[in-house]
Amino acid sequence: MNKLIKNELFKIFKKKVIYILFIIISLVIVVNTAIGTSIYGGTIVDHTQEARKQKQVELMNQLKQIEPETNVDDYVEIKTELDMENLIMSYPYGSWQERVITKYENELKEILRQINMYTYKIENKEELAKIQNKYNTFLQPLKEDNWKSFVSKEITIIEQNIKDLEKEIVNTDDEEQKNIIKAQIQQYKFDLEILTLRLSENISYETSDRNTLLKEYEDNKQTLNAYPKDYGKYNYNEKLQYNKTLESVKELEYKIHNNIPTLETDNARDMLNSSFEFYEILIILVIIIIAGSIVSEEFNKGTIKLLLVKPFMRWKILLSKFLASVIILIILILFIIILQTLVGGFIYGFDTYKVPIIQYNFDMQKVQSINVFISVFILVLAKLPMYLLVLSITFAISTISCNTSISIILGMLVYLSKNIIYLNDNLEFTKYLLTTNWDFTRYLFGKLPEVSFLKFDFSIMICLISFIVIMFITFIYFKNKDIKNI
Amino acid sequence: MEKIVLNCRNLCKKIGKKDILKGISLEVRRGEIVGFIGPNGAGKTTTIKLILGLQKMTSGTVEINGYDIKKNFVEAIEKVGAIVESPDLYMYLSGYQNLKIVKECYKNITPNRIDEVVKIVGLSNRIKDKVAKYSLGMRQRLGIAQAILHKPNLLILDEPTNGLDPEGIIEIRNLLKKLAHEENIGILISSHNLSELENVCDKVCIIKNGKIIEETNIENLKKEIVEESYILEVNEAKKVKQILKEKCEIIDDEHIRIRVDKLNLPSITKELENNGILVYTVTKEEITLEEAFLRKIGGNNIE
Repeated sequence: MNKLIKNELFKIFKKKVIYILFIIISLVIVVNTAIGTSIYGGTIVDHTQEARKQKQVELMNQLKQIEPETNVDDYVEIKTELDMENLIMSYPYGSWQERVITKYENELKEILRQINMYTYKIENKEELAKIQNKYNTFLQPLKEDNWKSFVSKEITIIEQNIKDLEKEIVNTDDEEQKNIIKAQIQQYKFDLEILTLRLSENISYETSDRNTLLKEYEDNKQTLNAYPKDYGKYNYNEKLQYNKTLESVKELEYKIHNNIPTLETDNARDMLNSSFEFYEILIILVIIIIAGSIVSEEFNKGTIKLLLVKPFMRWKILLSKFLASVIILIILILFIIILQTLVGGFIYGFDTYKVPIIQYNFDMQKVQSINVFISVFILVLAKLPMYLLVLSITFAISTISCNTSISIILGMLVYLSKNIIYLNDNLEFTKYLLTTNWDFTRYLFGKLPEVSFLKFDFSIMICLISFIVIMFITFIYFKNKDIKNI
Repeated sequence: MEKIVLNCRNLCKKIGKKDILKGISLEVRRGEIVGFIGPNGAGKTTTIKLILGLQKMTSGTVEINGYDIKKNFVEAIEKVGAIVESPDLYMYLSGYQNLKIVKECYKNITPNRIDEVVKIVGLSNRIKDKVAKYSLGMRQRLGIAQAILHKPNLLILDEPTNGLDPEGIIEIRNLLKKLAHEENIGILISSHNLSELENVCDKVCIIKNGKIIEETNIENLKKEIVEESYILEVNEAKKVKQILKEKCEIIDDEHIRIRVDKLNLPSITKELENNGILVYTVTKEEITLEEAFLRKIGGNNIE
């Protein structure tokens, strides 16, 4: 049996077509990796800075034209705007101070307006000193470049606010009013949580990957908190969306706590991890060509007679051919993984392979940190049923029709039919189709499949039954086949 | 008594409603070369495919070395070498690689057996070339090399001389004789050309329309089907016809052919002389085995 498989592989690797296919795949991998995603996006140019400078100049010109004596309201208004712009521009773009000022823009503007008002309109030294003091206190940590003390201050203020609101709630009788206050407290507590996280994880306001992560975390967490509490009453779509948000929150949380670096858009690791989305059609093409010709070609050339008068039972000869095709599939997958690893590594650097992939597991209800190679292995395992079924179907057509082109075309059609049948909750009968069940990546990490009627166990059953039926028919047919005269 | 290596009993094959084979029985012993002769479409290849298990028989049994092909396929086929229809070769491989593939299918073939076989069929110079570049004759030789690689004791060759030049045919004949007599192999050769096999076969089976119509050795066949005939040169052929009636046929005005025993010839010439016919010459007519064979099977009528 080993020798028969060896013979089959020997025959396949002596053909030129296999090398041509491998060369095409190599080229596609190299080109695809080199181009990356830059072709779709292009670099984003930030015009904020220039716009601000322009605004500053405009405001200055406007201010010159206004006489403070005659039109004091306008003067105060424009002056306030200009002071605000000057304040923002006094710190470099993207620094934590600039971010903070932008965040509290409305509050600061109000303070500046009051300062200007007390300076130009109603001269009131006492009030002016008070407000000036408030202004300086706010800006003090910024000047000292101490973001931590700034955050601490924020926390103190929020804590005070919460206390005030809690007092208020006791004094209020109106139920509606109570609920509003409760919601406010909730919001403050959430802000407090984020600020505490900022302090404990040492994430300043400065523009950085970690700050982006925190911002994303904040948004997603807020969405998640907004969901009603009773998960059991959700319909399927709500469940899907809830799970998606939950997944992001858990993963972002893990990334923040464990200091997982954020990778650039084009990086070797993600390209490797998604190679089986990119190159699936190529894998399918090669296995269809191999499985579609391995039996039928021997019939067409008459060489099947040579094999069938050798001292082996017919099923062994057919099995050796099937296994040889499976071995080619495995070689192909390994080839793609290795080549993508190397090409990606040379173009974007090998160090990203060390960065783990963060994945929330719904079954275990915890976040897993997975090495990219293990992740690829898991993906391959999840795709394997599909590859094997396409291979078996083509192999069966090849054996029964003895026609290489028909088997290749039909094999391709079977594969492509998965795109024709659009998954939809209203089409429940599609759950009996092989093509809707053979891709197991949708079940990975306990995820909910995109439609409610798909079930993991049921998919396994459909795939197994199809495989056994196809193989049974093929082997029985081959066993009883008369080798016709040419 | 030599051991029987191939024993076919009453092979029948029906495809649809048509009877392709109607009870073929034949035997091949060790060291014996059996010619399996018949016109195209007589069922030669089908018989061979049934023997090798390539097609299922409707009824009948095939035993090779005592093993039934249906029940003990692996044991039965183990010691058989065969070429069916034409040599089955992988064109994109070299001759050597083709032999290597066959070698992998059997246990206990020593590596130098390939070189040995290549030498036997005389392909040593071209064995590393791709089979696609081989001539038809070279492919036949390689096919024989494949068939004898594992030292079979039964060799089944379907039209092995197809596409060979006269010299090649002689070589193959000598090779087969050597294999049969020195290595004690039983050989079954099919052909539609009796004269090619005339000198090698110990026995011939003639098949026509799915039936064996004659199973005998070459000498008997010749004696039986080649009647003696004589050409007489006479002055008036028509008159002779009137005298001898059915015994003769007219070739032209002065020549007639008669089919009689040598012993009866004097009495016929005497009778002609008595009737005033002048007999100038009497010559014996030689007919080839081929002509005799064609007469025997009565032309090529595919049913």
